[in-house]
Amino acid sequence: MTSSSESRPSLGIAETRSVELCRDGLALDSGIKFGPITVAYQTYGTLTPNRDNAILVCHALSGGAHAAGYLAGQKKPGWWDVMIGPGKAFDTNRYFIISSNVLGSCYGSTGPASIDPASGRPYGSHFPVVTVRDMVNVQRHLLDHLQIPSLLMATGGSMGGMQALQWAVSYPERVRSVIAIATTHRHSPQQIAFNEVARQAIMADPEWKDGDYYDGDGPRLGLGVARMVGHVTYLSDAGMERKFGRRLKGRERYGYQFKALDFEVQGYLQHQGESFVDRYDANSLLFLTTALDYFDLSNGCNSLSEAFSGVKSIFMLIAFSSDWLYPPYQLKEVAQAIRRSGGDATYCEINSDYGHDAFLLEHRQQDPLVKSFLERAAHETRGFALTPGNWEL
Amino acid sequence: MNDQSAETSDPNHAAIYRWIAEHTPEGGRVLDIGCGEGELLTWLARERSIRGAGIELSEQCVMKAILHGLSVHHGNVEEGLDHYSDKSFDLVVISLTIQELSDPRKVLKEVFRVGKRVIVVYPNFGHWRGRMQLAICGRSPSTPSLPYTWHESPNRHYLTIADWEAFCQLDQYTVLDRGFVSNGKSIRLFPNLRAEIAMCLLEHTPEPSTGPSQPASNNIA
Repeated sequence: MTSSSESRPSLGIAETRSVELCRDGLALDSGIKFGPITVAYQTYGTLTPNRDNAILVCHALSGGAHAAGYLAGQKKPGWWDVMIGPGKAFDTNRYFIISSNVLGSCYGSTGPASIDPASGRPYGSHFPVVTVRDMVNVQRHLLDHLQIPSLLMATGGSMGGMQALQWAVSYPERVRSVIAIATTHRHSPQQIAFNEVARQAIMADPEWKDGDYYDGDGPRLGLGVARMVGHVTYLSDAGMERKFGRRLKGRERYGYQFKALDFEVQGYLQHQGESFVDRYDANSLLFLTTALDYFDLSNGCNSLSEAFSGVKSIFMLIAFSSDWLYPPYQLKEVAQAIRRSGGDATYCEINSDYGHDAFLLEHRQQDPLVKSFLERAAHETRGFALTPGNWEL
Repeated sequence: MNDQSAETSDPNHAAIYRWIAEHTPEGGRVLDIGCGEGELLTWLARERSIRGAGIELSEQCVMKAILHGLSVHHGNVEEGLDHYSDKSFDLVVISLTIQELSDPRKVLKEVFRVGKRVIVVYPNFGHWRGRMQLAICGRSPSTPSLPYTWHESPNRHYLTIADWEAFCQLDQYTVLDRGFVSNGKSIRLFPNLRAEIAMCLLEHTPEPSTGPSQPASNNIA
């Protein structure tokens, strides 16, 4: 096993670049033609002369292009720094890693807070509804821009895992392998329900103003509550017991007051809510949770395995035992659909009490799996057929 | 499922692997039920250039199998088999696992749905040493192929070679070939008394037939 990655070197300073794509407009799932689209992205490592070592790392709901290393002047590393870097699971000495901010987010790519060139004002309520497939289509344009014919791997956890699966289904000729972690092939009613509570919290805030709040403070309270709901679903019962128990926060006895903040878990949630408000756009949360809720790989097919017919990638699917937001059965269904369609899927369930957050935290368990699967993907999919014309440089 | 460390120190290990390799189609697609750390599939990939897949319940074993570069399902056998469509494997191997399954008859039906041919390797409870222990000492048998005490055994079923042959006849599985080993050596005469491990290659012949559909197995004591 590998030693602690904290002691391994980070890849150092990461730089965010930006490119304007889809100038003629991208046909969205909703039927709207939308563009131009700015994409913020980072890359780590070096592309081989054959351009065959590219890995697309897809972020989750609140993530951005900054997946690894440090931004100049900042102390917080990228969201998957434990997994990406020299000698790490996604070894930047061997692979060329691309991480881009998704369409609809607020970290540099076009989203509801971006300026609408037509009006000169933020899109706000005029931003179109986007889907996970739309996000992937934008990433495809980014790959064309970077002149990368096919990916050695598309990977990510949670919403990032959905993009990785969507990649294999949408562009079978351009993805050699997929690692999808703590994710699903479609949002269940429970997942939609939690997202709906988060959205209602934002929309009930009078500062939301139907989404056109950019000249004011915005729905800070609503966004904070929305994030608190999210955080509950990212943890697990056992994990919360271990982390907080019934410990009181800064006091010896119960305060018997509603605003007393007696319990540590309350303080944790409030802190998560408050700190999120300063770094995230409420409309982005509305649009991205909507994209998650619309996500269903079998949409338009008779079955999920029909959706995977024609897919050429090999898959590794990793679930976590205590993840009740994206329970393991959902990735088992993905494994079944891939196998039934004649494809190759490895499924494994890691025992962890970190809940959904495990995909960001359990890197010691994931490291060796990712490394060996990458080796296998590089070896077994070497003869990956490229269909000319499927992409243009 | 099967304990790899026990297997590698087992003198019968190499004989079992050789027999399985001899009955594995070159370049075929092979499913190993209870694949452990994937040792057998790795060996078959080297010897017979197979494309393998495994099903394994233990998380630790699954991790190691993935490190060996294998395609694995982490879960129980019933669930894993349900993931595959009809006849998607040239061969399914159930090596030293059948005695641990809760419903081997149901599993075999499923195995024959996904596989064209099946190899079953099982420990023979009819071995003379076990018979002696029970008959003379009055103790539950503990033999090299069944090394556990009653309270720590993962085995749920205790079958002899005669039991297995009767079962195959009952469910219309044709035995295409058999092999018996003891102490690393091949056994021909009186296998039900002398063999620690039995191996057989099966095919399913569902057509109703009069009389026994398989060659009589004379030497089964």
